[in-house]
Amino acid sequence: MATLLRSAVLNPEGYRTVRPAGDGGNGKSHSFSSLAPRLDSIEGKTVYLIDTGFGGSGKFLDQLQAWFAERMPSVKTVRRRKTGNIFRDDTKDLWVEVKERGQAAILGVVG
Amino acid sequence: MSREAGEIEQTYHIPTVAAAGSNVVSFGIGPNVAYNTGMPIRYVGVPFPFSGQPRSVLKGYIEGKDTVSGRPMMQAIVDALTAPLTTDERLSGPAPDAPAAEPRILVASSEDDLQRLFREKGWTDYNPVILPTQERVAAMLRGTHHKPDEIVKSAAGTFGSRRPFTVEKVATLAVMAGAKPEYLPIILALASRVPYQDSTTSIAQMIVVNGPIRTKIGMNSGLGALGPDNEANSVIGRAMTLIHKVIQGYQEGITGFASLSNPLRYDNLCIAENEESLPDGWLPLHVQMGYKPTDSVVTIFTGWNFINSTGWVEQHYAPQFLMRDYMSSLSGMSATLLMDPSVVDLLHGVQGFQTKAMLGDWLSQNVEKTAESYWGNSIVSSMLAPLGRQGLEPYASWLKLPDKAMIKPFANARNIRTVVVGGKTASVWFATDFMPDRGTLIDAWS
Repeated sequence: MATLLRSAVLNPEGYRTVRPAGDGGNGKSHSFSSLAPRLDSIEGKTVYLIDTGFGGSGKFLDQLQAWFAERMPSVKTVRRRKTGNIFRDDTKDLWVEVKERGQAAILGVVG
Repeated sequence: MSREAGEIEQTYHIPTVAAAGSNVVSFGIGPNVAYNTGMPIRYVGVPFPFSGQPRSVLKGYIEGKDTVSGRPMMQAIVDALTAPLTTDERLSGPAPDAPAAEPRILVASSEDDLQRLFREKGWTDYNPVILPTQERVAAMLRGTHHKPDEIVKSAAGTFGSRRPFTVEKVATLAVMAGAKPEYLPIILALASRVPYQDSTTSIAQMIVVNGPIRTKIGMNSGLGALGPDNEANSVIGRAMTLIHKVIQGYQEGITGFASLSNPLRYDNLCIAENEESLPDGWLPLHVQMGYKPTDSVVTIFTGWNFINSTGWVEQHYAPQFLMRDYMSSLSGMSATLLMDPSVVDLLHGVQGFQTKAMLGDWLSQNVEKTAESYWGNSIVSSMLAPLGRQGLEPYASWLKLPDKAMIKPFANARNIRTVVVGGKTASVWFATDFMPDRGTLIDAWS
């Protein structure tokens, strides 16, 4: 037989606010920024394959690069390893290079 | 990865796709959008496991299915770079208002219903919880002078998602864990340190309490301190597990994918240091970290390894020798020795280690392993090899060594710490690789 409640029970997960805007409750405004426009096709484009440094990511990108070479040879792939720590957002120089010399990026792999 | 992919897309305007395991993908398309960026990133999902797998397995993943869409992996990658943006992906300008707060009070008709709800929501370690009634939470809040609606922290969730939580939420979890009000300042201090580190590996945390609060609330730093034999140790440790699950939002198989996980996560190895047993010259952990002896401090350690000395110290083999031997199997990034006061008596009184630092120095000079073994640890290679490639010593030199060359992985003796705990019935110890945070003043939460 169920025990009847004699008192209200608090919700442990009922956070004060949930903000998809992403300001985390700190009162600062936040703006959305669109994703980059997509390519019509990656044929003939330069795609950067960026190794995060996580275990297995280099080998995964090796296979990805081999696939492009075999199945989409017009795609030029450029391999780079993230220059900083895999767990930190400390890479900037590489993004500048991708912007100057590439048209798309594939990041991999973390888990 | 989510943040970096977002930066490449939104700052550099480069179409990007991120390939990741299910844990990162579920965060990236779920909590990261809901609580952080508001903007989805394009992902493909790579099956687990991929670390340490042969090339044939990884080739199979590429020729197989994207775990997000279920479509062929390479088609999904190409589509992610070419398919037109959706309405949500094109949003720009001011973010919309946050939705209304979630309900503070749960609606249910019986305790059984609520216990079921707590289990279904994952708000439990699957031992029974004390239901957090308003009266119980109000009583718990008498353990702190902080106001119930005060924000403890905003950046809370797994992988850095943002969910502001209040003192009342922490008190609610403290009730659920079975805490007394006098434990609440420690639990608040622990909550102020989220997020705790997660991994697909078997990472775990350890809680060490120093200072006057240990004895004030009856924590055990002596006989059986690491076992399930003390209310404060057990309950405070359990509260951290509930904070991890409920506030941080760690749900195995949803936001976290620890392949084996770690049994230490049931109570996070919550102990107090046996400061009363320390000989002259051996400083308590918190004093070594720069706090005053009269401060009450909780330190959260993170690590993987927990090696038991097995038996007592043999007279013909000094304790530091077996510690050296066992520590050669640690990664070398950090070590924390947990040792019984009887071992300290031998090290201090017989072996001449007048301070904890002297012991650390000796171990730093005497623990060795091959370069091959050192770099063969994936955590070391992923965390420290990039530093070596940037020229930072000693990693730059170690990267150039032949496989069988011997290195001293604890070259920095400050990465070796000692916590004294135990009841002096056997000269036993543990060698761990746990590394501490900077410590948190408990008094600030009283």
